[in-house]
Amino acid sequence: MRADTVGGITPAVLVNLAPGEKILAAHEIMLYKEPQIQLHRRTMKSLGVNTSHLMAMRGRGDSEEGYFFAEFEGPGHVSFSRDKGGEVRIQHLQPGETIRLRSGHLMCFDESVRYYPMVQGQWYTTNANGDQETHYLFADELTGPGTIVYQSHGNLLSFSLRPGERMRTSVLGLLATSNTVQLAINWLIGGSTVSASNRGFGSLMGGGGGLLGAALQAAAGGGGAGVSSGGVQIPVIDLVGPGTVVVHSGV
Amino acid sequence: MQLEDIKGLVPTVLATLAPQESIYCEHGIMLFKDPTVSVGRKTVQGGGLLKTMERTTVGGIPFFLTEFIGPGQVGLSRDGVGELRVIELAPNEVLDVFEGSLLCAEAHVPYDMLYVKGTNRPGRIVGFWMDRLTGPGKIALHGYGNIISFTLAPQEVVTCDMGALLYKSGSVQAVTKNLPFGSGLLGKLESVEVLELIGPGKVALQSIDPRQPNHS
Repeated sequence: MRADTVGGITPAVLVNLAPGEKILAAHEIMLYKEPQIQLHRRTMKSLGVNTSHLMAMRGRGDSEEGYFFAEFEGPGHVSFSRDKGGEVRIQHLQPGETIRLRSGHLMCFDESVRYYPMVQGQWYTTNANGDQETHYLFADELTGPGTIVYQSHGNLLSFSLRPGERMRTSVLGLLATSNTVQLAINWLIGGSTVSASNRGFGSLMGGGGGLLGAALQAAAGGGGAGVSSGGVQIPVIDLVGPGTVVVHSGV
Repeated sequence: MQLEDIKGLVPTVLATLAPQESIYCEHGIMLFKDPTVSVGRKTVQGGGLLKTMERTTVGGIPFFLTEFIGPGQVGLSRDGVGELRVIELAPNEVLDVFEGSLLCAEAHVPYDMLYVKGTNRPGRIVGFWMDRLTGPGKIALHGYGNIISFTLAPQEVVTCDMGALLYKSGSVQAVTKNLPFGSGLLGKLESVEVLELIGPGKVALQSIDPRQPNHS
């Protein structure tokens, strides 16, 4: 596909498809299309995402993964908009190159790109009633070859980490990482850091917090035993290179 | 009368009115005005009691429009991120503007309404209203997000999202349709509600659907 960004305030993406060329997009983000563009339904199953995995994702509450993608087949033009302000990035993935993109930001991708939804991390908070709440970092894993288009909230900032190089982002600020970047969600408590995940570095696919997770939650979010919190408690994401990290300025 | 686009993320139109010159707009979008500018009420007429009830209770269209009479300046804003267009309508040129997008029009521009029917599917029965304006005269519009303009040749068709239309020429037909989302019963149940615009004439789309509750 050939993709271009249209406009600056709430950019849309304009895709030009050759005859028989296909792209996939989230349901109902189409802005307009030419009549010769065909619309089909593409199930997650046909993309290699099994139903139990998808149901497990949806069972985690905040996941917005649908059961279908809309497939647009050329020739002609089709345009997409996510109805939000922010930058649109058109990225060409090399064969085998993988990006993990925060869920809800993907606009469209080539049929040749392998798609797999995943949980990249999780953390816990305690609400005013003292109940524990689990939060998940959902991501779309996309593997080349092919073109993908996604939109940030606000502006995009890209970093290229060397092997072993570290950086820290806010939980809401992280938009995408290479699959080579190791990720861990930690709590920043009064200047010190406490792990908020019981799996250490690496991506997660589900799994409850377990006893260790609960203990960490008690220590981190619960403001209780073992940790003299005193200050502000902020969940943060620690990232270790090598690879690319993309951060966005809005939420 | 002069209409000036005060550009920015949330643009404002600044109308400069000579003595006794006037514009009309929807109620509640005034940002500021000079003390010399007086405010009046313009009654929306047409279609009788039942039609009025339909457009006000179902469509959310106001009973009255607000009229500003010069001399002086008045600023109007739609409180949304987007672009603004000032259009000079030629004599007898008809422009249909999506509900909630008209900023103002010169007092002598005739105002009417047009209803585009929904697809009659459960939950999607209700269509939308458009403001119909006929030239000559100047009007100002607010497009949510970015504005993308086309000129359609006779019988040329563009299919767009229901909330994407900003304005169209009176000669352009707007028809709501259910675009099947794949085959079979599921394809019909999951069909995408779209708007088919058939030329000839001008069409402008906006990249934010203003009907979305958190659109900007």
